[in-house]
Amino acid sequence: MKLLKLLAASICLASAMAVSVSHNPEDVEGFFTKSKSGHTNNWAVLVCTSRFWFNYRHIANTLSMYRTVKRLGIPDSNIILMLADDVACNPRNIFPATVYNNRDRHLDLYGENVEVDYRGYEVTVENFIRMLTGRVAKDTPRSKRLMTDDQSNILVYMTGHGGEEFLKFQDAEEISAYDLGDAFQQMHEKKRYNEILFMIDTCQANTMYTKIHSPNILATGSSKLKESSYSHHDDPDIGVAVIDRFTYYNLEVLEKIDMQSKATIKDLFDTYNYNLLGSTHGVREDLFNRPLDQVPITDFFGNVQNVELTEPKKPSKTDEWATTQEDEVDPFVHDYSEDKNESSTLKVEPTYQTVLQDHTFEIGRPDQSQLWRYASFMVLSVGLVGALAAGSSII
Amino acid sequence: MTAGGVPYGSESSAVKLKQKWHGPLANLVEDLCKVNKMRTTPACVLLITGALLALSSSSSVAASASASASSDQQYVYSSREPIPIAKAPEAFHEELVLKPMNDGSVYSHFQFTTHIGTMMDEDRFDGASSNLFAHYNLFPRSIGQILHSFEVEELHLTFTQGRWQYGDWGYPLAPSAGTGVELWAWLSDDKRQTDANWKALTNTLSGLFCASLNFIDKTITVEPKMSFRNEGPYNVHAASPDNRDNSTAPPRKLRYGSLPHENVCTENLTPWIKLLPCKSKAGIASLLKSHKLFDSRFYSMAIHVRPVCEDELCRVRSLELVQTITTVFDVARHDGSFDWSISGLFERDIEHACPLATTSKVILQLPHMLEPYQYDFNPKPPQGTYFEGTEDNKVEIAVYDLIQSTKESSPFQLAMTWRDAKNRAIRQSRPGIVAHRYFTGYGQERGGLSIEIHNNNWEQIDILYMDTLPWYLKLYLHTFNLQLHGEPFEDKHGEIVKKMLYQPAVDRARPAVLEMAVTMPPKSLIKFSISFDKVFLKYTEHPPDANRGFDVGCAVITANLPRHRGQIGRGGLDHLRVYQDRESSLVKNKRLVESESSGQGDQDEDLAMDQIRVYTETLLVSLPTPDFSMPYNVITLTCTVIALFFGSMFNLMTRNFEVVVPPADKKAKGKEVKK
Repeated sequence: MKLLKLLAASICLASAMAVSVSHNPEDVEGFFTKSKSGHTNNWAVLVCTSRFWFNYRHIANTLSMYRTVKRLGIPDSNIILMLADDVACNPRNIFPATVYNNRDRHLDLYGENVEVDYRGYEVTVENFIRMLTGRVAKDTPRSKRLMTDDQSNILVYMTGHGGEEFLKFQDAEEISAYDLGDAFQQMHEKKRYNEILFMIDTCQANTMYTKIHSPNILATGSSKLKESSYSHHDDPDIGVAVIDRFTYYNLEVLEKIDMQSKATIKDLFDTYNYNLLGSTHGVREDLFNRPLDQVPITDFFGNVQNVELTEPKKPSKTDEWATTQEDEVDPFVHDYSEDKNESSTLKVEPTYQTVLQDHTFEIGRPDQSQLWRYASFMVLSVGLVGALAAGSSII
Repeated sequence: MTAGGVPYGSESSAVKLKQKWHGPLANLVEDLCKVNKMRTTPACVLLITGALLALSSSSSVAASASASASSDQQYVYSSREPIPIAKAPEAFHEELVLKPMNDGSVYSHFQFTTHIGTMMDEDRFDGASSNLFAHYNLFPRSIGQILHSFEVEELHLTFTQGRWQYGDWGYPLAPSAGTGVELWAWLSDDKRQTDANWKALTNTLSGLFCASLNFIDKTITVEPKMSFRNEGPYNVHAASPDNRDNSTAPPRKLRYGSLPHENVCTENLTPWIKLLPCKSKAGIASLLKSHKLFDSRFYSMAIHVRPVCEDELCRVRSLELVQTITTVFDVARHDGSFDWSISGLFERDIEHACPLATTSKVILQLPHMLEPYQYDFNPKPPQGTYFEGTEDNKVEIAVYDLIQSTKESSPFQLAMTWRDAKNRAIRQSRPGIVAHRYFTGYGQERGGLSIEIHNNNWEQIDILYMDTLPWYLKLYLHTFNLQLHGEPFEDKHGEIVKKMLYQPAVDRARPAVLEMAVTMPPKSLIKFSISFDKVFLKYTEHPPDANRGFDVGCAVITANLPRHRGQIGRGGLDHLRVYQDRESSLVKNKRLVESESSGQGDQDEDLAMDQIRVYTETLLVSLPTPDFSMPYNVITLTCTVIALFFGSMFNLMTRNFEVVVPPADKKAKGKEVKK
């Protein structure tokens, strides 16, 4: 065993020497090609908004997507999974601690390793929007925060019961298309995403993305206005429907994808078919900047790491191939000018800005003067009363 | 090198060995990087990978050397010499207890114990000042960091699904809790930040264990005054009369909260398993398959963190993390047969013991039969079975050492068969204290709460009763009523209720707490009852499934039961240690400490008491729920009325109505025209 290790070590050393002798900067730079979307990390927000046993299929939908993105490389730490009910350990489930999305029950979606970040009563509109926009309370644990930056591609998948421009949360409240559009806009303003794929499987789903107005968001839904979305099939032993059609036919494609796959989002969207879905799917790409046939599916469903090369602030004089674009320095990148005399000047440094912003919810700082607000309010109200009086006197 | 003298010589040689190997290689890497003037980081990365691989082979030599050193030596510290804290022993033990129950179910109890660090008793446990949490080998880092940053001294978190059937099953061998999630912790109050720390603790644990523990907010949290005292040998020692005076007890506070309606499922088990050094890859934990564990009549999963002693006089303190999983499998459910085997229960096998474990044992508690030879079990332990307990309550125990047995034959198998499943004569275990709690009354305006406590012992038993009721049940203390054997009892002299502490609830701020010290007469039934009003909640305060009702957490009874009755496993969480090293110094020392603290000698074992917590049922109360679509109706109706009223008034005020005569050449109607 030790001999083997030593052998491996020597091979590594030898290859390292070889590389160092015949190094070519272009090769290295080409190796770390930036992805076309410019993202360096992937996140997934998977939301099931339905409570109660008969909505088993919504949880199965969400867990199917969870399993897919995990299989394609997004780690649990980058997945926010919201499940409004616990069907796996529900007393009505005759297969405890399992969730199946098919009648043949070959694949247990719950498995032995699942991390549910928001569950039960925690799945509320408020928590969802706070999580998206990052306006969470100070003590919120890491697993409940969406710690994305301007280089994150986010998959937002939602399923539940909805209607025209709303989606119900647990039969008690609903999120409107305007809320969602505003949340995405706020994320855009805070540079919390690079691109978003918004996918929704619910009745009249396409109405949910009509109010989004932020750039770089691609949206798709299962059914148009006045149309219902349908479940795919049921399981007689479990006793309820186990998956919805839209998700089912998405999975048909996604199950054949692996991390090296070159299949594009267009390939996925082209498989949507009224005859299969029973409803008219929708795609909204006017906010999205890239042609869909050049967007790999793994840009959103997978975690194919791209490493970005950042230039040092002041290239060393001895370095003949370092670029001279020293003016455009990303303020978040660490300044390596200190150690430029070290062996290497080109640092491979993924620029991640995990700036934990603890947004507390105060309206104005207490030391800030609020006087001008009162003054303008008084002026306005006096003006309004005057106008009213003048109007009535004219009459 | 000074303290204890002996133990560190061999270990330091191992360290030297490490340095000897690491030094030149690391230098080599640096030199190569400099010499070649490599600007390409990948090359350096490759180089370093190679170096690390080489190192790992050399460090495994070092590790094995240090392991052999530590297993040979016992860490004995003398009192006043400085102790090198960083070199404290870490140890991991794993045990599985199996016990067939009276009704054919099989009780299984997994227990994983991890020790970390050591402290002088002069330094109290304070993560900031000691470097206890500077280094992690076996102790899970996520727990260590939580304890450190929120100044937690003692932590108990239990997830439970199902209800323990005290009547059928007796008491559990190790402490369990009521349905749902129970969390209690002792926090250091040095910086007067207990409440902030508690809030942060609940939130962090909620993230760690994928549970809604963040719902334990100030409306649920209580601070029991009598129940839930400090646990662990260190605290027993510190609380003994000898030490109470001279020990400068640091300020610390207790917080308790429970969520009766919290589901327990795989997502809670996953992070729990990740705390184990071997995960579920090896050892007893490889049996933990969620599909089987959650297919049981009772499932309870806990972590307990508490300070323990490493020597007999508690000079050296360490921190103990005990992780337990307790299940009750219904083996007779499918075919009526009571036969079982490990591979049948868990659908998995133990291939080998966890290599990091110091001890790895399977303990089988044989049923207490009235007639002999009714069952058979296979294999028999190599050293034979032994008996534990006194004459009446003798328990036959078989202990298997997994480290040994899996070397000889793998996987480890254990099976039990019954000769005649129909006529089994198992001695019923009658629990000494049993309690039930239920609601009385009807309607949605007011109700009542009744608690029945049975004392089945022939002795008088002192118990502590603690009940937490949410603020939306308004208790009336003047309706408190006591019955003894079904007859109203006037407790004028405090014969039964020795002490009562009552904290009234504050709306939306804190719950009501009722704590009582009660003396139960021998063979008695005591019944308390109290009335309350139900509050009409605000529309937004209802949960999404409001019509299901609101769960009220269980009441907790803390009782001291005589040990010789053999009703419970001895010493709570320590009982397993009692089983496995019966004659070891640790247990003897622990007994010494106990006898010192209680002022009794070892010979007074018959008088010794064991503490147990008995949990009542959780309750479901239905509060008046409004028709939740009503607000929409009201809003739409109100808006319509306002719009109509405002529109017409506005029109009346701003418009002038007059008759317009149409021009003669057009066919026109009367029409209102704006002025």
